[in-house]
Amino acid sequence: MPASVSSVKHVITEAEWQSCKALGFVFYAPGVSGSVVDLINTNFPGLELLQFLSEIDILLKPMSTKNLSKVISFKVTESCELIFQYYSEDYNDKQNGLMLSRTLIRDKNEITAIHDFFRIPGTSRNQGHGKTMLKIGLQQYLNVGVDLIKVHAALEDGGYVWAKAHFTGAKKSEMGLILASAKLMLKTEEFKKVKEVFDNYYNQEPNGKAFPINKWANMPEMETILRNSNWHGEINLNNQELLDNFRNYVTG
Amino acid sequence: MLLDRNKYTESGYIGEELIGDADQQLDQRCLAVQQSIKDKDFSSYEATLAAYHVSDAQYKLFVGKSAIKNIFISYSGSTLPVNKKDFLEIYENMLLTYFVSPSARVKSIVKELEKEANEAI
Repeated sequence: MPASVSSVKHVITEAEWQSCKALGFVFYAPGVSGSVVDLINTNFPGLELLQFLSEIDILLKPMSTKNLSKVISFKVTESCELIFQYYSEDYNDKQNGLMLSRTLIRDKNEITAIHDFFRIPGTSRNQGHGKTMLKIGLQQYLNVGVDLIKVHAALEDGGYVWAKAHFTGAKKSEMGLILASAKLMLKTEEFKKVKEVFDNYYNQEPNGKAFPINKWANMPEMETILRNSNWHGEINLNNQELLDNFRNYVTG
Repeated sequence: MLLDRNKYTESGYIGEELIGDADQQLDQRCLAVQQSIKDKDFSSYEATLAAYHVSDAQYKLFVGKSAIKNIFISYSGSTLPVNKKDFLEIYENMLLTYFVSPSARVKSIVKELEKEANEAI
């Protein structure tokens, strides 16, 4: 499935929403007026809702025999948030639970996709489902014109794998903490290389929000340190090089 | 109805399966070399290779593979291989573009390429 932008912006119809409901999705947005169709067409034009939800359903439904909740929500604060959640009744079970949450946020300046959380049962892991989910999401992010994808890289080795996937470090303080760990754990010569990458980026971009942590992740000495790290990552989809690298990584 | 979005994170094993086999990981390290060369992270080419545990031969192979992929995309709009004759003619032109005053040896390579291209369908 190529992740490219459709030439014509998709417009959701009421019939399409009825098809989504037939898949088991419900709209839950207390205090928000307006239909889900109008809210999405107005705030996130281009989203192929039925395509998106069908692909998620086809991927996730076979993973659990438990009752499933499939929710679309909408929140309006200073920004507009469109939330997709799909979870099994045993979602809190780390070994068997299923839960996915994706949020699209539109504020004045940009559209952001947040990868809130994703957990799949142990029996479904290491079968390429994570890759498929990333492809499904990326297609819609490009359709909607998402500027940034955000992930909180932490726990269960997430600090390493999301660095490998070309997410960049958004917070200098968090990158500084990882650098400090490297100083404690690496030999002087190894640490020197790690620090050179850090210094080169922040000397040029003192307030930079896109540290190329991928470089650290490709230094074998950094693997253990990153597996124990906790940081907030972003992919700027307007950066063609970053997008290409991410797309190749996900589709390769 | 909605789970707390701040309570959980994206599980690491989701990204783990993206990492790939040894060859794919080597390609990713070579890509990091390429980025570090562009960003001038290290003082020399050798230091850059050493930082990512990549040999000169491995990096040159990566550059070659990337260049071929770009040739295919530039010529046919996809990563599918172009036909042999076209590829040989493009390669011949690459050589003649780089070696503005080709030596006898380079000329002989070009001549062989021409012969090969003429015989190719």
